[in-house]
Amino acid sequence: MSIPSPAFRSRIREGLENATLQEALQRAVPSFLVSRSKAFEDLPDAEAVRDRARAIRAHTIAHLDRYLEQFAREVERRGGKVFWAATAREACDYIVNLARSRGVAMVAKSKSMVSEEIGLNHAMEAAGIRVVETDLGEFIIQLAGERPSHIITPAIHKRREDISKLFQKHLGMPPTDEIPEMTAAARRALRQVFLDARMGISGVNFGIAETGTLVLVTNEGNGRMVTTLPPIHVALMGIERVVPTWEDAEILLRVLARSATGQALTAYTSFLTGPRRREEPDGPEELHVVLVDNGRSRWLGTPLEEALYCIRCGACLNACPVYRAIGGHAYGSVYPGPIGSIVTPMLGDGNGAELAYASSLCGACQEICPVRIPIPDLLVRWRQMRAGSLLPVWERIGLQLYAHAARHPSLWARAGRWAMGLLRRLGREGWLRRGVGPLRAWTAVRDFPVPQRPAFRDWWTSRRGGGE
Amino acid sequence: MSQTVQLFVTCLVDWLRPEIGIATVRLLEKVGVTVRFPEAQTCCGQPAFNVGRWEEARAMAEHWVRTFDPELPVVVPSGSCAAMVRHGYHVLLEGHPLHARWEALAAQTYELSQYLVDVLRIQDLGVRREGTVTYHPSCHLLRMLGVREAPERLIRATGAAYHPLPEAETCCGFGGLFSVHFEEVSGAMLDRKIQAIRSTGAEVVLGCDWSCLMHIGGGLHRQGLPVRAMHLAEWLAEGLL
Amino acid sequence: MNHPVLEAVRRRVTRRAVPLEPAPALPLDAPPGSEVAVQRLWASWTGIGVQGVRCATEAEAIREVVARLRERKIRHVLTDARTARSYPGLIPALEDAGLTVMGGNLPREEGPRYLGLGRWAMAEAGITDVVAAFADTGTLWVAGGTGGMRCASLLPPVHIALVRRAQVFPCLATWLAEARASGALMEWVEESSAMIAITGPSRTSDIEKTLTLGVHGPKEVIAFLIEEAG
Ligand code: SF4
Repeated sequence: MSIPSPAFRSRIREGLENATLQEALQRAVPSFLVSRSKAFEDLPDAEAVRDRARAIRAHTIAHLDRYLEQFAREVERRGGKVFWAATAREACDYIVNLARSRGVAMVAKSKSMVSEEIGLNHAMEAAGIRVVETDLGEFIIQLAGERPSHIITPAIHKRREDISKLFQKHLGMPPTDEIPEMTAAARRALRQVFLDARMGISGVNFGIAETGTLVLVTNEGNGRMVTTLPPIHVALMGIERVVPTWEDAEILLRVLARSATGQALTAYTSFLTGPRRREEPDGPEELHVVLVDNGRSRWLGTPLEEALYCIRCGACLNACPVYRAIGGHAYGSVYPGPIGSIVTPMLGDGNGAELAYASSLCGACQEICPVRIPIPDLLVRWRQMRAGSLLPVWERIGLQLYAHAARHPSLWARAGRWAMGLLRRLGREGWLRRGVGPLRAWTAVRDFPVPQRPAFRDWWTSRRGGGE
Repeated sequence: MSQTVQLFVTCLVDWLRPEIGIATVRLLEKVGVTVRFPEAQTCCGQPAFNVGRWEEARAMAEHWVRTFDPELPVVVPSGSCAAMVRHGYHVLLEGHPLHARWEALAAQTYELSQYLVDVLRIQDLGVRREGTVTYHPSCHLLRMLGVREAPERLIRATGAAYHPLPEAETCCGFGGLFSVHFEEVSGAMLDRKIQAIRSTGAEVVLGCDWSCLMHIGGGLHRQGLPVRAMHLAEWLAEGLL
Repeated sequence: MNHPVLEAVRRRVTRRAVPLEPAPALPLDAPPGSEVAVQRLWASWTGIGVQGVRCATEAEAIREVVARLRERKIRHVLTDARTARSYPGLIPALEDAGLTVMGGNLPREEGPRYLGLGRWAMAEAGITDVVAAFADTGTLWVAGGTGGMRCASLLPPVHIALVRRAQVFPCLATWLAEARASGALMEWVEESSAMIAITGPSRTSDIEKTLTLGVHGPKEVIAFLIEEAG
């Protein structure tokens, strides 16, 4: 065992050495943070709104059974179909079978992190059904055959030149470095997809229990397209995404866009209740809501429960200095960044526990989180729950010896004096430039200042003895 | 002022940078505080706690709580260790027989600058300093103890030229064992911090946690830069002479 | 209702009481239709890139709508029965100006539905009324429901929205409170599969964080604010 595992270490290196990514992170993320704080400055009573938002999430999760049941009942009462998926596999199977039974050849999809989580695209394609991502960022990522590197701006790591090349290759577009032209090309290509697709798949930001209403936000309008034009709308929703009332959803919307993009409100916020009604001119003829558990329910009532409060705004990624240093791909998980490091091993088969160590516990994530999730505490919890198996043996033994000494003051003093004496001898002019053993990794990137004089405790003793 | 406090010097300062402990004693005595040093003290247990070895951490927490006298305030020249006592122990000692004793201690455990400025209400220690300095707020001091202004006030009162650090509240990349588990990431974060420090033109970067300063100072030294990383207490105490 | 997922949730929820934090202040507190609300709406529109046009009367608004459509050389307009009901002079005026007005209901059978959508997609502008407008964010609150078309505010590159002063609410929270009290909220939910808060033109910053308008939805949103009551 080592932390990080060799695979994680090499992904980190790729991130650190990827100049494009580094440039993109340096450029994009600080501006995110500026617009986010501006948006909160303009919100009256912002801290109270956050408190309320947190209380709503906490209350909902504490009574999740009640609200889920109500939500499902209300969806069905208004003509929607609800499917409960215990696992990723069940969710995928349901959607694949539905598509098959309706003769669907192509699906238009708007951004859904849950679909990434359950590997839906893969399952659909394996069944011969084409899935087209319609969020511009996701579309780019799909053309590139990659994975999103950020939950809000998935293509944050791509430069316009890369994108132009992709569009030349896949859309037959002439070379350009004009972003509006690229956007227009994507609009044309995807407009046809929206019209032709016989199934639209979307995520869900919140499900309002009292009426079975799905709340969905998108800036581009693709979320509206996939939930309006295709005759079948499939909404994928994690079971934790429910909220009791419209008023609760309104409170959460006050903080969601502000945290995600620094907007007061996303350009389009859809409140969708059931399929098209008899008197309505348009809308989907069928609505299927797939409620995905995939491990979530395991964590109710545990110290990690608070991770389920997350509204996936992505703010903690932007605030995280580790994310900003290595980018989203390095995490190797669907959900990157601080919250991703907690959520990833909670879901599915529980892989990725080492991610919990990829944090300096600085707390910037908790500070920015609109629902005040104590992310560092939860990371430490994970470490505690898996620590025995993840820390290298010599570290475990080292900590045991250290703790033993710490409870025996005279041993502590003797061992300390010995170790410091050794360090002093190893240092040159107060510094150790190349350490061995536990200090090797330290001196890989910085020098180590060795002590210049005997311990404080010795000074104290000598002073009391009249030394000073 | 006839306050008596107990100094929790922290293991890092005790062994690696005793000068900070000595400076802390001098500063406290300068403002009339009597300092005691419970000699059985060792380590607060934070390294074990943060990597998830809670059994070891709990053993150290128990030792710490037994060592200090719940009747007297505890002053710590480290934001991170003070935060460990105040917050980390809360989880470690839940339902523990020592919990009540811990509560009494936690309520009066202060980081040094916090104690001086927020408790004693002293900003000007009568120290005069020259030169150009900047200040890096360490994360736990800032976010877990909520100490934002106290160190800056102490610095400004000395008359030194104080140049605020850009993006000061971004982590320096230390993070305890994170700094050696993920040394490359830690190093990348450090590089950014060093860039910010250089942009201020300061000769000295001050802080209230020797752990972070050791990391920052080690980076500055590795890069051959003529900037020193110093603990606020040491820098202030130098002005006493 | 029963399902293993729901069962698992039931077994584990804590059912602990969570103290509900006091309701925070409204994003904007002002009476609907008030000058404060209108001023703020105007400022918000400017901020998010909605072109606002103020008109004293409905008739003036309709004239202005036609003028804007002409300016843009628009020939096909998508609109719905509800807008026609709220603004009876609108469709005649559009037709007098020689514009092709599309509307009606999309057929439900797959083939005709597809063809119908294809036709709607040719419209260069869509005109809708609104349920309300929210001043704090500049939001146009539109709905499906009887005769309420989702596509008119979505498919064409230009969306024209007609807002009466009395429909200007300070914020969504205020509208919700009122609609909850009057029962309108539940009526909307029963009859309408969609309520959409439109806050500016379709936008993206997905490429190099550069703001670009009109990705999938309208690039232009023109909102007419009409003083006259309906
Ligand atoms: S943890 Fe908080 S900040 Fe991070 S994505 Fe979730 S809600 Fe947003």
